[in-house]
Amino acid sequence: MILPLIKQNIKSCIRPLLIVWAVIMMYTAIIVYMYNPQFSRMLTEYQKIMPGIMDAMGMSGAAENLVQWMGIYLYGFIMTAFPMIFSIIAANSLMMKYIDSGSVCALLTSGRTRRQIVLTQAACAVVFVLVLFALSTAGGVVCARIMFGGQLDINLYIQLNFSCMLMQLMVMCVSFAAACFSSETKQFCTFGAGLPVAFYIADMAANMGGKAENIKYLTPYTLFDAAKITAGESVAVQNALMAVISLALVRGAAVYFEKRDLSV
Amino acid sequence: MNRIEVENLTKDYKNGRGIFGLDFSVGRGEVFGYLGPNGAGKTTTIRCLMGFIKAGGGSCRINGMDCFEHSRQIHKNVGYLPGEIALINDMTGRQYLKFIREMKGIKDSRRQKYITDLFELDDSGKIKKMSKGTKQKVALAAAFMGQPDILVLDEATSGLDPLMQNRFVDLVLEEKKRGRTIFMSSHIFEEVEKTCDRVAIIKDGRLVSVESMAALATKKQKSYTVLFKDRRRAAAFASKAPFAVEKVQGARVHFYAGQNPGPVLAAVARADPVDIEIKSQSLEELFLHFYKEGDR
Repeated sequence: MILPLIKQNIKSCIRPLLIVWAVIMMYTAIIVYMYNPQFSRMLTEYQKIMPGIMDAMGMSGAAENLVQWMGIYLYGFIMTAFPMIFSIIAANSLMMKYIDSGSVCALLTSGRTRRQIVLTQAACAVVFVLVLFALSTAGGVVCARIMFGGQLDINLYIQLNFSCMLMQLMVMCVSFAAACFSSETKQFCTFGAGLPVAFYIADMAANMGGKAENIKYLTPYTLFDAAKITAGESVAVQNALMAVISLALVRGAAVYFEKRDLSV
Repeated sequence: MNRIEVENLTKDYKNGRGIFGLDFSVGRGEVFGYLGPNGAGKTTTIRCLMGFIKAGGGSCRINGMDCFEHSRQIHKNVGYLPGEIALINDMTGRQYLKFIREMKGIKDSRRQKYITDLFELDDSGKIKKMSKGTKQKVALAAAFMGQPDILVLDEATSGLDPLMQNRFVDLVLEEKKRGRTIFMSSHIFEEVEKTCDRVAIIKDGRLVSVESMAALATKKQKSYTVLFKDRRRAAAFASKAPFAVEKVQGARVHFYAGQNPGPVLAAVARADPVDIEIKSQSLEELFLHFYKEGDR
């Protein structure tokens, strides 16, 4: 790990991290505040009236408790989309910006190996996602405690966040790998930002059911199953798969970055 | 022992661009100029030397180590100034230099201060707001700060004003006295003439010549312009001249000839000229001659 580079990474990513966290906290507070069983029944009626739209946003199913409510209305869209935006911004700041601008030559000529550089950046990317989810989880627990003291199943809520974090780590690794493989921001936008967004849209389409349901096999987002977690079912296999995909992406990116030509 | 060794170095970009079969070496304490027109392959060679790109064929070594495989060990002892200055834009100059110092593990900042003072660098501003010349000074400070044994400088004075160019020349001479090995690409012939021991000239990815500055000096020719009474006499002189005539313009004949002017002047005198103008060929003209030679 390269300490001066870690300090620089914190400086460049702290602002987007805090902004995304603030947005997540705002929505978390609103969603928790809106929780009441009557309103939940009303939204279930909405789902019946306009199944397509609600399903596409990942907001389907009936909430019988607070964690299920949060699982449907917070993790269907907010916790999927906003950390994804952060991941794209962070992968750009940590890797793509250096390659595209040519300033990577300052890192390469500093007497550090390429492996040290890429692993430092990957470790920072992972830690930033961990921090975002740790802060969001803590914030969610505090909101639930203030508004509905004792009603939140903390164990399930942590499992929900852990699984969602693994999904977002996978997204971060897709973006990070794309940055390591790209020479210009244009390529990074196509793969590093385009792929996560395409996966997200595919997930929305798959949620609408019917024939489109088969699209779920094309997007890794379906590995995060909030309904299963909040119903108390095990998602160990999905979690393990997401971790393995993330590790494989980082390893592939690091190996390629070590050997690639950098015309800077 | 040679500090830099390049053997049959090739990097083919498949569109006719790249470098092909380069061979040269740079000895310890030598200042080696690397010259060529735009797109000749200077920066590609430097990228190979710095381990940014892998050679397609042949080898390049610094201190006996392969430039790509052992870039970490090599960079501990090499100061590099890129041709295209790319600093970290959201930092100030001072923050950037501190960052580079920390990255390189340099604890003593006196050398950095000496360089920033020498180039009168105000490093307090944001890099993205800096002029090209100021960015160049920041990059120079970053390259020289660690007192490396080897310096690889790609168009080091690009963007600097003439006063700062002179200071750069002084700095290179100072480093040369300390025994540093310097590999520098340049378009400024004066700076090459003042600093380099040897030069390599590259054209279309191939070495045209590797010469010592002393040998180059002996190759400098004189430029003669002889005016005759009329075109007929000029044409007659040009057709019988015992040296290659560059061009005939009306009653004027232009040609280059070597160091020994006696036989040339005798031939001119026999042709009864009206006037004669003799100029020493500048290093620039000599290099341009080499560049053109590469075309043939």
